Amino acid sequence: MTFLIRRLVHAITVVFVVCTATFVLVHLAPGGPAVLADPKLSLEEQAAIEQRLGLDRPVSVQYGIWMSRVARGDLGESFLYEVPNRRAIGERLPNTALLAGTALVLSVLLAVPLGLWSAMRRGGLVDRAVSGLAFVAMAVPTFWLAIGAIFTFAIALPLFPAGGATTAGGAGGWMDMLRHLVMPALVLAAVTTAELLRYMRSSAQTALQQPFVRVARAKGLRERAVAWRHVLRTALIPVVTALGIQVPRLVGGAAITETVFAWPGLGRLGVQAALGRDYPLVMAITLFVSAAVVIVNLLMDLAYVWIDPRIRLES
Amino acid sequence: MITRDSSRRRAAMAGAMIAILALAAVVGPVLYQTDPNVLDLSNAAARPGTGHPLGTDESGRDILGRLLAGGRVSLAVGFAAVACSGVLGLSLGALAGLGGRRLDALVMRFTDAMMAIPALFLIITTLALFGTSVAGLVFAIGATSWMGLARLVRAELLSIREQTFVEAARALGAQPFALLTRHAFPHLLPSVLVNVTFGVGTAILMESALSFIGLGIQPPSASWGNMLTNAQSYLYSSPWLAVYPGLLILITVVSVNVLGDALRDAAEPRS
Repeated sequence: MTFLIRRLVHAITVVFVVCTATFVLVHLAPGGPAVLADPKLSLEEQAAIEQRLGLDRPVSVQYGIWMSRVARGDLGESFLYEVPNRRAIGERLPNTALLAGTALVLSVLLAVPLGLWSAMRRGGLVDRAVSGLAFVAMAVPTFWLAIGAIFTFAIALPLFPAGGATTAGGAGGWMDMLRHLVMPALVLAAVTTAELLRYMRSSAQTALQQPFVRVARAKGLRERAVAWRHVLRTALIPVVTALGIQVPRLVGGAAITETVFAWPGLGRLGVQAALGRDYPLVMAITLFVSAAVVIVNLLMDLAYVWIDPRIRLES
Repeated sequence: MITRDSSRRRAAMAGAMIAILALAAVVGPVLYQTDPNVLDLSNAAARPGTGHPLGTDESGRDILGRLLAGGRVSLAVGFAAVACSGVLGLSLGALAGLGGRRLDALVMRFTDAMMAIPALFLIITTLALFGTSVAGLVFAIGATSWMGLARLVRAELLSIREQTFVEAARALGAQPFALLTRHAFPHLLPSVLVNVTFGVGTAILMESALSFIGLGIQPPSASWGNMLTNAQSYLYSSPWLAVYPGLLILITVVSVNVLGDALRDAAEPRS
């Protein structure tokens, strides 16, 4: 229990830091918080917004107003799209959730068995090949990998569409969406897979040296049973921690991947908003994405409790 | 001992590679005097040869010239951002490790929170609000990548504080500042060096990604990242434009990471 309470306090701290950071950034920006009022609006409308934001009040009061607005889920209105930011975010959220979720699941499904295999056959062909690939995957720029994938599998060998989430004017359907999802999801998963694989490999190696593995082998269990039943569960614990650290990076990577593949998600929307100087939207997306990452991390903490009985029984 | 020899050889090769890239970035534009920003539309997307050793890009600009100029920018931004995050990480880590329990808790909660925030979004918010300048780019990357170093410095300081040689120095009347610089710092140095080396690779990747999406180095100035922005638009007609900048980023980051691995092996012989 104490573990989960600690993690909850952490989650609240994260949200607090993001809200404060964005508030400070807006106040330090050239032009100050007035940048949040759409320059296209009439002077009266701008004055109304400035009053709503409390720009004529002391900074401490403005901070209070800002925090209470965010707490109520009032994320302001976009300059570019002239809709509430909440709606703009809501429209793009399912696409990003699909892309990032698929990439996360793919990377776990790839990294865990490969890492386990590498650790069981240390120094073998698979281990060396996989470690080498992971090393390169961590150094390759995501967007370059994406461009390479587009060139190879959309232009030279037209197997998959080069971008978008659906075929324009097409019949749609989930098969169409899936075809569009394959390349961005694999590209996005590459770095995360490489990072997780390194953790999995080293934690499985550590687990293999534990006495209980010797016992399992001594009682005549096959290597496969030793690996999947005994090593896996112990080795997964540090990997779940690593996964929590990877989530914010994955979401950042999603913004790049979405931009290259023209995937209509939150990340691409954020990049376009930043390029179009749509300050309220950029900030709303940053706040929202950070909060979403915090929630995902909290869910992972629950998984952590489930995997590691030492935490469940601690009190 | 075979592994140690091969690790040394790899480190030497990586170090040589980094030296060559740095030399090319510093001296290259001086020796190869072709203006990387001159447009020559009649000679656009030319193949290698005839006055342009690596050909020209979609606007007829000399690719070799742009690669050299871009390398200068990418390496400079990478190193400067790491210097920035190094200062932040060292000072916040020292603050947490030496400042007592309350300050420690405060700084570490902040560090954990910063780690859980998707850095890219914080960076694009900053760049959108403050405009895209090289200094802003360096600061934004540095300000979102110091957390690992701060944690490391704090942990090392907490463990060094308990060591007997520190107790002995204190008993001999060493001042706190001398304790830090003369006794704690040499112990910190190897692990900090490893962390900072990997940081260079991450910073270069971040700069290139930001320049690629249009929020980093602004055209007409070349950077390896923004050279690829244009290359993507011409992927159907001139795919080779996308090869060199990406390859150079990859080679740079791989070299830096190999060097980091080797330094880590040297710093922690146990693992």
